[in-house]
Amino acid sequence: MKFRVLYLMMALAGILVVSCDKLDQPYSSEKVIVLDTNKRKVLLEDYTGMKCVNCPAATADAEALVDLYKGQVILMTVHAGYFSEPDASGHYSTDYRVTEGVSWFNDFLLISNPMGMVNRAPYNGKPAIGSGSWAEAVASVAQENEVASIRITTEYTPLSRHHINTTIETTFHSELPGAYNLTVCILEDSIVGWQKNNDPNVGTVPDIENYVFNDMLRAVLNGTYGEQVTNAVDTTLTYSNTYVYTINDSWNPDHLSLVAFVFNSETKEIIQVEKQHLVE
Amino acid sequence: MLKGLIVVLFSVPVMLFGQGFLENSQISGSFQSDAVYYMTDSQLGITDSTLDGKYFRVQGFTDVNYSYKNFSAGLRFEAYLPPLLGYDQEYQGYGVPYWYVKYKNKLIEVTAGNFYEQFGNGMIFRTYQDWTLGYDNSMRGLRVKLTPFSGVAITGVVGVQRTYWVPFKDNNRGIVKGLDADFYLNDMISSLSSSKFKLSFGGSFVSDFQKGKSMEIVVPPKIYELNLPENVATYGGRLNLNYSGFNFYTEYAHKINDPSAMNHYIYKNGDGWLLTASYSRKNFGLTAKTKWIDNMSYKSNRSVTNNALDINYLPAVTKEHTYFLAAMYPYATQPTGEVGASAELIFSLPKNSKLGGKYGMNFAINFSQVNNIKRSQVNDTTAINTPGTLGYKSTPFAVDWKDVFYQDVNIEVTKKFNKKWKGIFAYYYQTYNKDVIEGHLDEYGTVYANIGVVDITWNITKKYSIRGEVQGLWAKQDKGNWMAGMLELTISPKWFISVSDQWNIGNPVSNLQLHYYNFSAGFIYNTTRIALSYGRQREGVVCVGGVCRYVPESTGFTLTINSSF
Repeated sequence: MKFRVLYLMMALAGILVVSCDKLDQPYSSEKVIVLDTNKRKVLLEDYTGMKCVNCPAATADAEALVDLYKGQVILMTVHAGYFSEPDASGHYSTDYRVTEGVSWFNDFLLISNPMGMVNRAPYNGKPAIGSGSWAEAVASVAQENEVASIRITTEYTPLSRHHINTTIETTFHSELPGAYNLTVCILEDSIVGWQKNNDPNVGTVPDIENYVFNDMLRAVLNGTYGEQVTNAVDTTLTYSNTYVYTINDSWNPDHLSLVAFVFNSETKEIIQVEKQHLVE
Repeated sequence: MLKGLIVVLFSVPVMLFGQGFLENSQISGSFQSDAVYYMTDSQLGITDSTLDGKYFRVQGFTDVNYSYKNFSAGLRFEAYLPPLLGYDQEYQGYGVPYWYVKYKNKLIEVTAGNFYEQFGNGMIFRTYQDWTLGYDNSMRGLRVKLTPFSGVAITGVVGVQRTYWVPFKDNNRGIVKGLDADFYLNDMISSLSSSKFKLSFGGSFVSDFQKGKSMEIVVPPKIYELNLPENVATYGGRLNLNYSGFNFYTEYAHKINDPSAMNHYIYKNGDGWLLTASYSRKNFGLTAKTKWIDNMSYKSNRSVTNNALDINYLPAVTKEHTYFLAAMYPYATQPTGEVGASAELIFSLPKNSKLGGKYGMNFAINFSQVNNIKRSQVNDTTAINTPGTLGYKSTPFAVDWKDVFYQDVNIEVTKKFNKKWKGIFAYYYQTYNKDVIEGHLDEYGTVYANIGVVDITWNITKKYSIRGEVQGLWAKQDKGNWMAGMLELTISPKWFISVSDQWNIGNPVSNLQLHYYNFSAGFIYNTTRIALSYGRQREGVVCVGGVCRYVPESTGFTLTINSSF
């Protein structure tokens, strides 16, 4: 009996020994991205903070994905979490946080910086994704077919300074179940400020004095989880939502963009996203 | 779900065994609850936003274990509503993350459900739970332990590890398989059973299966597709020799290519060595340790970089301290690479000797140092740690002497003066590379701290005693000098009251020269302990066995209740 057990364990040991994948070089290859306009667009949310030393490298990764996916990936950097809390004085006293961004950070259990979400879709069981996995998550979502399209039309002229009037038209291409909401955000580029950093490949260490924040969430036009577009998708309709908003005096209109995304009201997973510069 | 589990674990055996089952069974368990009411504190910069509006936080657990003859079962209920500050907020929620049923006889022990297990010192496999760290990497699956012959112990495990409350699905983490064998020569060979010379040895093999033969990573401005090993294997061996008061232990571990976020997705093999030698006799003990860790982070999810899903554990050679200021700069193991050594000498001056006096005197002298390992480029054109390459070259025990991670030289003297008075006097000199240990880059540099502690206990009567501590830390770096004091009154056997303060007297910023005061009182009744405290928590790092957790500053009331039955 004891010997049988021993033989069994030896067989088990044999199985374990083959559980070993030794790889040979080359271990990696450069990926060539083939764009397909029939695939859905991807919103990459980068939850960051000016006092987060690992964030500049993560944002550089995110920006590289935006460049490589040429228009298919839209980046939104959201300042939220411990490392985004401003100091009472000094270099890090600017508050870049937006109430809705902080709510998303908490609601989606982002926990720390840098973390992100890719279309708010679950990756390894949850939407919060470490920056090292963004490329993998983006590649996965970018393969999915387009199920809706968004058209942004914005009225803004320098004469009507501070006032924008934007209409978001959503069209569904397939009969999706459930209800869908729309969120509209304003992002700003080229904001210069202090940023902590620990990656010399990205900038000076430990502080970057003139760090350029791009794609920074500045405002959400219609609340934390937006406004319902429909609770019963009809592919023959175009759903239209219009918003009037007064932009902050301190923002540079030339650097502003509108980002609109449509998501499942229950799962919060984004099915389509679009971006338009305020001043083309 | 909880109700269902309790029914399965407890009521089914009741039905099977009836009255005899109840009479011959044993139930044991433990309970702990930590509740904190946090308060805003303008001096510490703690606002409503810092607390995320969650002022009252509670976390706790209850363990229940049942055993009847060869059968046992148990579960642990945990609740984090929400987790305390400094604990991973992913724990938010409640449930039964740990349950098991077990059968055991002389030959075999089978566990189904969750289990904690360790092969050797854990360098290739260790699952454990530590409430202080908020750490739990238990396995859920099957474990079989065999004792086919006297002196031979074989263990096989298969399962997936716990990660917060995330269920195992869609291969969101690896499946871990392992086999371990221990051989105790003195038990195997009867003629050696009474020998003073004891020899044991063992070997282990572990493999982690993570589905996916490739993944993409960004190395700006490009994306690379990495070929991945779906099965990452580790193996190791160990040997223990013991003769009289001498003991020698060594363990070696090897890991094959395991690209991960922890090691910058490099393909170099990993290696770990641990050597320990000790000698002890009455009033004397000497221990020396050394270890070499090279690319030995081993997790069942290659994307994870925080304290989660570790398959192995890398033992610490540094000493853990308990005094406030001596514990301010603890060492955290660097799994990507470190080489360390330590020595500890413990001896006593005998009672009624010239130097030892009437009650003798005890000394503990300890030294430890950890450095970076020496790395060189794999070729002239590939920078160290370039993703998708071998990463670097290294030679076992080749030390980068310029890159000191940690050094600790300390002496503790314990002296009983008379029946009522006892004292502990300690001095520590610590070198703490804050950037490496806490994960910064050229931000803080290295802290050099001199620390002194005087700890006096006055046993007024058998019932009443007072213990007082005075501590000082002198450093020119980080937050500068600190003073600390503590006074504790114990009314045996049930009550204790204490007051303490840590004062950052030398902070370079004058308005940050803050006091971190604490008032606490506690009551002990049999196996139940209740403690209530009010005060400030200093920002810092708490470590157990080289695994650390960041603790943020906070102010508030804390109620801790623990009990066992």
